[in-house]
Amino acid sequence: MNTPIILTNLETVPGRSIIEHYGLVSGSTVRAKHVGRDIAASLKNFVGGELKGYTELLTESRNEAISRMETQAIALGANAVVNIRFSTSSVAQGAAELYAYGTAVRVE
Amino acid sequence: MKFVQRDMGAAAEASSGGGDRQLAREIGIICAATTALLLALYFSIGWLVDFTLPRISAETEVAWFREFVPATTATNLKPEQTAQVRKLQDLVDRLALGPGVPRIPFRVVLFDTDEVNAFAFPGGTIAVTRGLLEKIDTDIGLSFVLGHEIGHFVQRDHLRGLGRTLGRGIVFSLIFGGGGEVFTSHTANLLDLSYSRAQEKGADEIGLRLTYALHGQTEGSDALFRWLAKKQTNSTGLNLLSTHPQSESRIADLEAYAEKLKRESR
Repeated sequence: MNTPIILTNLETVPGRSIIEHYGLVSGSTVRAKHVGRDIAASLKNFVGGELKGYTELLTESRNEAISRMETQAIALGANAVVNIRFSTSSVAQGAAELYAYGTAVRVE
Repeated sequence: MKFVQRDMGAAAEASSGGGDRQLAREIGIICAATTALLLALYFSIGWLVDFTLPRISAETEVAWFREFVPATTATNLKPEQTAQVRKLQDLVDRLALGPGVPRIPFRVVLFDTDEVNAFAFPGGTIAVTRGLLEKIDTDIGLSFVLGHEIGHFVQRDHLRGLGRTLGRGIVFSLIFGGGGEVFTSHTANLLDLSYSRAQEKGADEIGLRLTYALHGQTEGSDALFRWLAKKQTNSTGLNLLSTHPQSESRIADLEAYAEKLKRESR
């Protein structure tokens, strides 16, 4: 991302005013877990604790969704995305969608 | 604040994942990788088993495979067939007392098929076909065939082809799930097709040596080859025994080896 862009889940950017509003931008990715992570997770079931493999998978997915949303915002000439929300849905066994959406605006 | 309508261009496709072409490429790569993995698995298991099995001692082999019965073994034998098998068993027991044979219990079973052949199976099982018994009826001719199969045991040949069969069975059961019927009758019969000419020649020599040790002569031990040679000249069809060396050259080799045996015993 060459242009730093403001990402916030407030409806405004505090201390700045919105001058143009470009509509909805969104990014999504659907990722599946793989066998290696399943094996590690099933072993973890004996002792409890964090399933790092799955944490990593979902963190990557969220970052990917955000970066795709950002790509759209930049293409529209926005310098901020406000009121960002996340949602998730299960598409197939062992696969999840991560969806990020917000409103692309120009602030000054 | 005013609303500005703008076209975001290619960014609209940011989450589309590359479309159909990308999808097709990905499927291609995954299929190729899976195939490569399975092939590697198939060959490595086959080679591993092929490498280790012949190094197992005959006694261990019997302990492992004692319960193994070839899928095509004939059951409900007629009384005369039972007598035939008993006679063959007796012949094998006496042949196995010959020089260089591991002291393991050999067991003779019958395959109810017209095909003329005999097989060595893991665990000391020797199978003969009904077709063979119809064509070869002399003690000495049968002794040579049985001795030849004992020869495969002595050389551990019968364990070499097993690895590929086992490997194939394991990989198949991995792909298609289920138990993986490793010893289907078909693959079991293909076990003997992987013998090289050198292995066959070695087994021929052991067979002849055992026959000579038991009967004190070798006259008539080439009965099967003479029948085969006749068959090969008047049939052009695919012969299952075509993996075996040409019958004429085997007969010649046998005669030469018989001479050598006689010289040695003098």
